[in-house]
Amino acid sequence: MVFLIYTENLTKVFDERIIAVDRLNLEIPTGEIFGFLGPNGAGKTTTARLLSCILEPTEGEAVVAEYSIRDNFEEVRKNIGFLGETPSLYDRLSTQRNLELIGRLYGLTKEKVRSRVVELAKLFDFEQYLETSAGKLSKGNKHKVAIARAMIHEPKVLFLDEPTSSLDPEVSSIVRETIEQLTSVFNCTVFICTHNLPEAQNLCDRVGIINKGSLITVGSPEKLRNQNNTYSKLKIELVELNDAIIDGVQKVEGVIDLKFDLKTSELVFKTLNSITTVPFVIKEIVSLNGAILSVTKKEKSLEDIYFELIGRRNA
Amino acid sequence: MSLDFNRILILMEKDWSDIKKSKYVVFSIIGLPILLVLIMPLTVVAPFTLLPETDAEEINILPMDFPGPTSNWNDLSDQQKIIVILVYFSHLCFLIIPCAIPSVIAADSIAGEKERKSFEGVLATPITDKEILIGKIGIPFLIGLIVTWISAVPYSIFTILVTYDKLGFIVVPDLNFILILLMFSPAAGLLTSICMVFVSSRVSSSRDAQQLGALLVLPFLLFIFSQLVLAFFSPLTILIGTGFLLFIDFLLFRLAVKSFSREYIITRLS
Repeated sequence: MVFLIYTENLTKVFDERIIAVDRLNLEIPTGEIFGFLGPNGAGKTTTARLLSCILEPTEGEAVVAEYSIRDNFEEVRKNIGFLGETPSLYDRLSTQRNLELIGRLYGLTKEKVRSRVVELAKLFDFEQYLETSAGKLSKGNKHKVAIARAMIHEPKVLFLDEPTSSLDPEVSSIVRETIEQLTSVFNCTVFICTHNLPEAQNLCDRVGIINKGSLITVGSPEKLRNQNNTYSKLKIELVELNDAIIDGVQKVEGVIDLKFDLKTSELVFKTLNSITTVPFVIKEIVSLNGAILSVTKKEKSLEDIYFELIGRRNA
Repeated sequence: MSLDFNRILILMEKDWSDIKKSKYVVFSIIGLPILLVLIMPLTVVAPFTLLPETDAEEINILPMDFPGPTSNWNDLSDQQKIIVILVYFSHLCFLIIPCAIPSVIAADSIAGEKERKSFEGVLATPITDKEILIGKIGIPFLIGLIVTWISAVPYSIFTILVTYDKLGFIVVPDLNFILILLMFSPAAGLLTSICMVFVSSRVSSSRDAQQLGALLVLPFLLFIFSQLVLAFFSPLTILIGTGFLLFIDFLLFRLAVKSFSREYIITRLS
């Protein structure tokens, strides 16, 4: 397997005391969409900047697009696209000029860069703004142009820091589709730093969760869910809920953290083993003349796992 | 590591496109030279063309053996000598223009980008730190130089208009003036551009860079240049003065290259 991003004990210390990234080990294969999750100040942006050769590592090594970030930073930069937290456009220049100048800095010919600008403007639907000064674009359009700029030279690896944070749902969806297309058609590897957990769950092949510079876990959203599936959450909807049923269910062995809502006649609880607990709960309700409308097992989301892991770490 | 001049030119092209859209900068680029090329001959030279010859004799403080910058120096009257010397002192504006213009542009070059958060896109491209630095120094230097050379035309015409009546010959342009324009002005402009880009890369806003430039860098440079005015009077001293400035340029550029880093700009200047 070819890893387009490979890090070994990658460490970044600022001012000899602030450990922004601590012995990070990652292996990201070609064509993968990798989500890097973590709270503010966790080390996501620093990692993306280290891998994009904007910052120099203090210790450790990383290979990006098959080049060492320590020895071959020029080659690394040629083969990657980078979009930071802000669009970084030149407000006084037109959209087209912004794209052309950066494209040419990546070594594209004038003809090639022009054709790429047209292609990307069509893809992201900003053709009508090509002559407009970047400063006059809406926040969302600025972001679209910035993503297009990061992709202008068809990079092997794309680093995106919060790529959809300021976009409306429609544009976010275009960006997501484009990212998926980049990996499926062009075999591009995408590294996304994000806070948007549902997006990471739907878009990313694998995610890594980082907190205080240390990587807590890495895996597919599915794998993380299974790994951290310590309990199940269940919801039972009844025709009518009363105190007797609440007391009865509370006493069933295995029911944890019972919550109820008399207005909606709903019971919500956690259990370590739903297979053994749920039949006893249902039996108890029926014995108390309760009428059940539905029983739903709620799957853990990436968001649940994220907060559990981050919370555990912080505790 | 070899330099990619194409990338340097692209960066300069980008900066030029950006600068010409800023009304404030364009006004500085045009306004300052117009003022200087008019003010210097009018305020420094013109009053002495109006003096009677006897008054000029009294205020001529030049030593008797002063060689003079023109071939007909010994044939000139005291008043004519003073006028020629004052014209030469007015040439100082060809050190001021190539310094003042780059100082306005270069102050904004890196600190301004950081302030507007526009630099990260460039820093992620393959352009090297040295290429960024050369590109950033190049555009203020070139603009300053071109404006200086263009200003020399109206300056010469205006000086001739003011002095011809009293001198009876054309005092500018002469060989010394051309050497000042071709050697002194570029060396001085380069010095200011390097200084100001260096300052701009170490502060967090273009306002800080401008203030540092206006209060510390420019007065210091102008003091050095005012001492160099004495070198204006012969081709040899112009060459020596230029060599001195180029040596300082070289040392400062080495220092700027050594201290310039993407990491510093991204992490420290926020």
